[in-house]
Amino acid sequence: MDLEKYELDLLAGKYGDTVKKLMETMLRIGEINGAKRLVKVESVHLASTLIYIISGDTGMEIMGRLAESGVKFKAFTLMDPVSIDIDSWQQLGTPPEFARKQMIAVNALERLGAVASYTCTPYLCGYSPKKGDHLAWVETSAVIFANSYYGARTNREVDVSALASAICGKTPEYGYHLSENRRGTVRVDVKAKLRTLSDYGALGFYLGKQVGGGVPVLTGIPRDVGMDALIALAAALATSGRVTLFHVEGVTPEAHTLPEAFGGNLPPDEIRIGAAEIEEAYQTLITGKDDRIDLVAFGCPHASIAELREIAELLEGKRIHANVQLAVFTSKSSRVIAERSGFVKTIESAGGKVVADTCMVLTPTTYTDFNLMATDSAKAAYYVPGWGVEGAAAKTKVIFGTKKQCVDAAVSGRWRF
Amino acid sequence: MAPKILKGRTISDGTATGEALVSSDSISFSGGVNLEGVVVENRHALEGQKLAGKILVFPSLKGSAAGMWMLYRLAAKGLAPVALVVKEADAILTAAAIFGEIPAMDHFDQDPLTCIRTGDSVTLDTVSGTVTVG
Repeated sequence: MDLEKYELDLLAGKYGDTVKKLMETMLRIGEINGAKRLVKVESVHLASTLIYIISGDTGMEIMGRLAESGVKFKAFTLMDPVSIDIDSWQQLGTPPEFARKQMIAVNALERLGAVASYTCTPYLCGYSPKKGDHLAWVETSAVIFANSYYGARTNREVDVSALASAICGKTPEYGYHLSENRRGTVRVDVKAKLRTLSDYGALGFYLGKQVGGGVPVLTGIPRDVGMDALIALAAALATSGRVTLFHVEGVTPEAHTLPEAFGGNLPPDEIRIGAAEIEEAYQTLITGKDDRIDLVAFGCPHASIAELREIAELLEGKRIHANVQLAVFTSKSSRVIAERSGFVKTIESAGGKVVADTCMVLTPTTYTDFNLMATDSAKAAYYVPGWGVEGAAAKTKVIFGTKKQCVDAAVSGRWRF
Repeated sequence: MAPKILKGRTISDGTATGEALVSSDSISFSGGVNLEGVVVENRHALEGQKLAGKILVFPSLKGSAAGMWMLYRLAAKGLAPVALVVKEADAILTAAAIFGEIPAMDHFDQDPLTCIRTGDSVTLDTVSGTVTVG
């Protein structure tokens, strides 16, 4: 690959060994995948904020070295959630030492030039890509959404390669950056009636397992399907599989028609999704057998304004059971709008919380304090039981259902199976 | 019996010998594997199995990009597999293998999932570009 002087300097170790290793890794990934050149990216979305909670001090050393390397992010760089609510962690009872360590990563990334977005849904809070834009995004739910809903082009990046992209402003051109890899590979006929976001999550979870790394083209999805439903579908597809792009006939920008989605050749392969397949996904994700829930968590991916409004409406005039905590996780900007719209007040009056910047998967309290979480997010239902974090082994079991079921359970203290 | 030799593509340099642990399912290192390096995913082919010291043979990585940091962490603590034999490595797995210094190969001339069985003695060597079974 032809490199410019600055890129060669980065590679030669002019900014230290950490930057050198990041560049080497990015180029190696490009070479392995047959990239012939680097392309300029319109934006980068990093999950490096997760380094502390996932890899502890092991990964934090990299952040520290990077902050001191003297480099600045050349690309417009947005950040994934952190493991604390940056403005309200004290009130939420986050251990100070934990918050302090998280803030080291936050400060390092902001010093490098990252925008303080701290959300997995950057497209809901001020930055949405356009069709054909090249991106280097890490957050898997945002990657698949940017590719599928907006028609932008990004591979499922990993922090170390995306950090290199943030620094040099480019990404290796392979995979989903190239039109020939964006065509559908498998046709999916959705016969099941999907009513709720959790139904779309269940569909994504079932389908992700079936198609692995393919590009599914879905038919049978209503044309008026909402953005939130597609976010839930996208996030789940990227959880149980490594789906990076999907098309929905008549809905998404590269699939006005089936021939367009498949690049002319309609494949014979067809997966049929009926009520039984949706039910199977629900049953796989329900790991809790008891009905006494102690946590209800919404917002994975981060709750949209519409979801915040729906939750507020469901909680209007109600009181959450004394044994249950209810938390809605969202971006800072959505929280501000929800506050001004009165949704936060309604949720708080019922005894719930609206938490910004973080989520149920990343906050330490999830693991220390709770036995049984109810959620309408297929992605959270998968990750919460297995994702042990710093200082606490995972023990939380999960029940997965609709928002209404979750709110009813929050009020009564019991899940109705 | 003569040993079986698979030829593949190098993802991360190195040599390792160990006992194979074969998974028919893809693996998510975030969520699917806990801090002790034990597979905890509900209904997974390797549910309950420890990865430490094994040559892990599996189709691909799935799930969150945070899997890179988890695998890196497990490697730093000696709880990761000693080598990865994967049908198709993505960017997340490639970065984890390089950063965690875990030798890894993919794109083999034969299907490693059918050529290798759990418990087989396996040597992965990226200098010769081969995985030797038995």
